[in-house]
Amino acid sequence: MGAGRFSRRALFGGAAAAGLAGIALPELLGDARAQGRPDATVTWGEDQDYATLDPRVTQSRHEAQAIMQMFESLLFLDTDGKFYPWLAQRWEYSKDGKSITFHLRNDVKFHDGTPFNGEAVKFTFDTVMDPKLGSQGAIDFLGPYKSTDVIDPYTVRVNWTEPFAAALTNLSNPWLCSIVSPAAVAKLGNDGFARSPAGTGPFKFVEWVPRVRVVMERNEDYRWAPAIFRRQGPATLKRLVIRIIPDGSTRVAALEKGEIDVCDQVPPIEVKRFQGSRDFDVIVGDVSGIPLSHLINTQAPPTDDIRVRQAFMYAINRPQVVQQVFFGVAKPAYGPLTPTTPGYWPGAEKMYAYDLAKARQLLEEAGWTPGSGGIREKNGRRLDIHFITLLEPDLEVAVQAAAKEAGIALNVEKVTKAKQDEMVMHGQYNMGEIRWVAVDPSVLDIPFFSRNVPAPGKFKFNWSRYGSPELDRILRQADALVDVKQRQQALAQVQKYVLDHALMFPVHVSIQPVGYRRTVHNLKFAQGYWQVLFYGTTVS
Amino acid sequence: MLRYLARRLLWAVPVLLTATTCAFLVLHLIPGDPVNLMLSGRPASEKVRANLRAKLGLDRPLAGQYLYFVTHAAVGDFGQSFATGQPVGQVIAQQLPASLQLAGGGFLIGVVAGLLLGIAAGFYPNTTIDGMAMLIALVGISMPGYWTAMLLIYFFGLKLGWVPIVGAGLPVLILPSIVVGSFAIGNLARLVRSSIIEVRGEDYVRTARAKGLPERLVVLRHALRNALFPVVAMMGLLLGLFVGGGVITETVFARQGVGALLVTSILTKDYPVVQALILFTTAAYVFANVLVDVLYGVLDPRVRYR
Repeated sequence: MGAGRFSRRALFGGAAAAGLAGIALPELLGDARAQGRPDATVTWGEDQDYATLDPRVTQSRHEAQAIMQMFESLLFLDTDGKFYPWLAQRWEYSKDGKSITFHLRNDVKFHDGTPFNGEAVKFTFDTVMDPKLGSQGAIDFLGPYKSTDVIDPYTVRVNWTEPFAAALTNLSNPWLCSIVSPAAVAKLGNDGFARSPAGTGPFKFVEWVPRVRVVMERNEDYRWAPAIFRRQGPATLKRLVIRIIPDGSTRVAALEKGEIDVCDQVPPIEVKRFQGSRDFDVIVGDVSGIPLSHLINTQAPPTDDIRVRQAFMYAINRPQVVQQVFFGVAKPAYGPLTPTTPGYWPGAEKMYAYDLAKARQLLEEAGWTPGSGGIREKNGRRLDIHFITLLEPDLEVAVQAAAKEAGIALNVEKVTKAKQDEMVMHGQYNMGEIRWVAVDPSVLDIPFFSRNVPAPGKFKFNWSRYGSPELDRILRQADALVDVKQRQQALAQVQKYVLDHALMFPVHVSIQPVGYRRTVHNLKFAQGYWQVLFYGTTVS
Repeated sequence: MLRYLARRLLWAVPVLLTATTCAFLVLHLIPGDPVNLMLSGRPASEKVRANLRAKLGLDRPLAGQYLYFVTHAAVGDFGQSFATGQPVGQVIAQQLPASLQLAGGGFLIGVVAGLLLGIAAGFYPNTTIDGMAMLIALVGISMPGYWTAMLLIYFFGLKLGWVPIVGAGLPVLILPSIVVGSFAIGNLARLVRSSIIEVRGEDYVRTARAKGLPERLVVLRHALRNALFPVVAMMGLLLGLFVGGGVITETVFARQGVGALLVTSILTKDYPVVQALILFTTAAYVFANVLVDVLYGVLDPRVRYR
């Protein structure tokens, strides 16, 4: 069985493509190098500080922005939903679904000059599982990992203790499951490697000044780009610099002044200005995974009443709220997955369309009658919904205003992460705010599986606190089904169930607006639409 | 004098111990699990959490963690940062030069401008000069640093293009120094003004005038020297503030610095870094205060140390 057998994502492509409409994808030019300046430096303005550059340790999509320029994985999953050979030329599943054999390239070298081979793959995955490393992301991506057998220098068999449907998607992750140089780790130790990493990617590590910048330079030996780039050989850019600039306004000012060339997380109000500008432009990634949503606590009054939860969802005019806050840059979300995520169920868009009359009617049925100050009451209690927000307080103020129309007092409390975690573990909220960048729809397990209900001392993400054997069953089914059509059906069931029971109120698709000078070309989003790959990038 | 210094520095020991113990207790008493915060919202498995807890030494009882901290801190070992795994000394050493530069720049601008404005206002009270100086002082005190920073970036960085915004080299220090210094300008100018007005009414100034000294010398030799007394006390406090307090400036100008490091470390409960930083800033304040007391003696021969 070759690569084609496993391009199940291609079958999800329809849904993904529908979500992509309207995204300005930069063109990939066949012979970009000829057009670019060979000595060019591109500086990327990054909004968050880094703690590690070791793909085995990180959990941060921000660190990934640097990591995925320097490291590579066994296979490449593109935004088109297809798998392409990368460090592995081909691969095949075992009959029992518990192992995958990878046939590796034999012409790849790490940045420290040592050869890439099966031992490096085994070393990477084995050390990820080692508790002493303190892996925060990769260890979960390897799932029920058992071992790696090196069959010959360029053939490895990766084994799991049980069939693992997400294996290929996870191993294609260009940062969490990319391969590290065993020689470099042996020389520097884990902590040293995290600050001076060596991979096989098109850019090599040069320097990291904490809280300021990470500098990389072109890997002149690079000859093994995945076919999707339609070019080979070293990158065109000579240097790539990640400049940490936490403040959005400063980032934009630095871009306009020419101190940086590309800028992540452009504030929405600036996006329109750049799009109409002569010197700058913006590409907006509609991020895959779970949209910015409220998870609704089904255990605490008044949201323990499904009529209250549903009324809230009908009461908010999402297109209008999202337009107000994002100026048309972000799209409203209707289901638990965003449209660019494989397995997205478009049926969600027809549920809970804005209907104030229906919201009022549901509240009347639940016994909540108009009270003083426009807020409904029942047995002398006001209809107060306690909402803790950490991620997007500005948005939530707009939602608050909309909820009041229906007589719901949405009490928005801005909290720190520490406070939020504490309140979540003790169930002291009616709604909490989540969003995730994820490429596999199995991300739905995290907020909806019954085993993920938080408890004192156990911070987890089923904030609806809704444990249902029925929902668990269809979630498990969706995780295990290898057949694409069947899996899609199971996923649709999950999404419909979540909305039917009003466990979650999706608000908007998360966006990654990347601003850049028009002299920079060929910025390509990696899978998930958050990070940008600079291998094919040129400067004119 | 030496005995005095030795006694002052010896006194610093209980002060530092109290400050770090308080920091340790408060950090552990306020809710929030460092492992959760470190994972910043990622749904990691129990396996990941248990591994991290053991790696960071959080599986030890609180008393054990405290003993470990005190005994190691006493010999200058603050452990490793939870976030980066680097030795804490190294983490702080990386951030310190930028903080000292900013403190120096802010101090220079704040003290020079503050003194000049204060002197001008003090010698011409209730005139237009006084009014202008006090207006600038008011703006300096009341404008939020964030807003001042944005305005400076917009006009001098972007529109006029005179100075870099986040670039490298000495020029990049100019705008942040103004932001940090502006608070000091306001405070110092007002203090110097009232101090000078007060001193000018003193007998010895009248005597100096009466013996026929030119006004310039009256001001420089007699009035100013005495008027600077409370100002020196204040500069000591400002120095401590500058070293640890540039959080907003550091963030807006995307600079390194211990201020932003402290805030990030508190929010993520990076205990080792916070404890070391508390110790460090406390030490900075103690040192600045000793420095001020010594300067008192230099300025005023009547002050004697025993």
